[in-house]
Amino acid sequence: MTADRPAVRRRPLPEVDLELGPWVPGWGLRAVLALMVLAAGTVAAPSPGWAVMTALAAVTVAVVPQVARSGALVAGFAALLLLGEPGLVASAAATAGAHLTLVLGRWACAVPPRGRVEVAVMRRAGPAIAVVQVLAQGLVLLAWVAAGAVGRNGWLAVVALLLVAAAALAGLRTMRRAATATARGGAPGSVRAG
Amino acid sequence: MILTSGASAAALVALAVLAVSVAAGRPDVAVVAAPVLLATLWAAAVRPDRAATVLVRLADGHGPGTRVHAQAQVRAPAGTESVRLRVAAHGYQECSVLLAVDPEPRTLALSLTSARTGVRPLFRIDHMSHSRESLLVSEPGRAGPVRVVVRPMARPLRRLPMPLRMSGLTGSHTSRRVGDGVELHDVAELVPGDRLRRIDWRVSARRGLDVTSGRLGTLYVRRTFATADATVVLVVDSRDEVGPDVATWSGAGDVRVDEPTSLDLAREAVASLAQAYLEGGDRVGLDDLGRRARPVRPGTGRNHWQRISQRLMRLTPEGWPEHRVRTPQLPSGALVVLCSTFLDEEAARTAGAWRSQGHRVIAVDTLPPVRTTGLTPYQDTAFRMVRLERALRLRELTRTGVELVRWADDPELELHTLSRTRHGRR
Repeated sequence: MTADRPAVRRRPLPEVDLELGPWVPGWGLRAVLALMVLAAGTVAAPSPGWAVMTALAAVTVAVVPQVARSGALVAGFAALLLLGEPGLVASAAATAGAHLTLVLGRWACAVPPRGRVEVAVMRRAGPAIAVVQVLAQGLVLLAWVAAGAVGRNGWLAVVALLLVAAAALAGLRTMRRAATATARGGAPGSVRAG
Repeated sequence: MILTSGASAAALVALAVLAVSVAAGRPDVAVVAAPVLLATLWAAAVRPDRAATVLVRLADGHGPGTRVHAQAQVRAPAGTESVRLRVAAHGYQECSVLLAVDPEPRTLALSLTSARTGVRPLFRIDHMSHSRESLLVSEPGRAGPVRVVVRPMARPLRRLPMPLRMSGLTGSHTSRRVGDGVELHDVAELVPGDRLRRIDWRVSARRGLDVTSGRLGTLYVRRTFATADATVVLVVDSRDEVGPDVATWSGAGDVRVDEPTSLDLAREAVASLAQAYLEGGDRVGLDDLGRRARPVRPGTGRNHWQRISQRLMRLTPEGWPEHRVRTPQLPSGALVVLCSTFLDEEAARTAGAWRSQGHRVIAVDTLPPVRTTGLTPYQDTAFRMVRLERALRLRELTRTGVELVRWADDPELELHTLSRTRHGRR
């Protein structure tokens, strides 16, 4: 014969305090990740019916950000484009969505919902992300030009080439700085664009 | 450094997307994989060659009090984007952080509030370095925990009870012996050995003057009470340590770190009393009922306070203590202050024995205010019986002449009251 212990609501345990720079909570990152999936998916979706699937995907990555980290969303965005008609805006949105959800996903995976991510982590990774994204958007335009769907908007090809060239130059410069910093014993993560 | 499954899976998915879109003749789909592949290649080009190192150390100037400070130094090699930290301590919520690293070593301030005192392992940090794009992560490392000595804050005590008899030939208290001092004892005839400056000429003129011959016959001197110091032996019963939550007394749960236990109250009581008595110039010793280690013998001065403090911080319940057949020996005439929960007979029996030997004994009850929520009916019944036995034990103890102070209430007031009862009678 055993007597059950009555349920007692216990106070939360005290916390260990850390002096950090500006930070965002893990749950905030997950919320932004879900919104980004929803926005990019809605734009890239071939029909309004796919919005339900996008919303489901958004909820899933908010709860399990490892899904975004594993590249499943890259396959998802590619599938949305494959199922629909080719479109410049959809392609650009899918490209941006695939990249940024992967980046946000890996930060969201690193901490639990109550954990903290320093804003400096994102700020220092920002230039590299921007370079890659600009390069990818230039490639989107080039692919659009290569598909022959430009028509009268031939200037898009010029813009695409300029974007790719500028991003490639910025990327090379950043990598060279990183290599110099490495040789001096510094951290290439601290290299700032420009 | 280890290649992460997430990064490799994302790269493989991107390659698959690229292959399918090329096969389908859809370059607009192929570019979706482009940023993933570019970022992965970039991260591979600037990868770090080793993991970050984290060191934890106690912050400088750590004094008594419940706030404990420490510093973590993070030194990351080139190519590290961030370091993931999980800062934990037993009894605290752990804190996970993704930390940006600098080219220079970064120092992170850590702090926590502890109501618990003594030697405590705090600030354990598990860490893992991330390269760009989290392509590579290091194996988990651990720094700490640091053994921190959390010292109790001593309460200011102004008036303190004194022993029944003073000892020594000098000190700050007035004894009942005649000797050098300030307080007047009586006026007596001058005898060989008395100092001439103690002659009371007025009394001698009034009583020793022979009016018939006009000569001064007997001289009188003013005699004073001698000064002396008190010997105080502080005794801690470290055989048990219980918190306010009765449900944890069986050892089934952890005692909260933001609530002091009986041993924390005992440390605070001993620290307060020892400092107050030592400041008054008295001799203070420390003994432990739970261990057979050699006691700290009565002494005075700042170094002696450090000696007492060191021993006090290391008091902890150890195993099942042996039954003491003989009470610990104390200096003659010492005041004994025994800090215990009195949850069993041992401490009460020892206090009674000291009282019967002629010592003035003050029992300091260090049981914190208890909380009985969450008890099963059986536990509740058992606690009621323990509480009743304890109340009877304390009542019996006071009947034998042992004075009782409850430290969780208002010890300053109670000690002040005891200081006015010179012979231990209230």
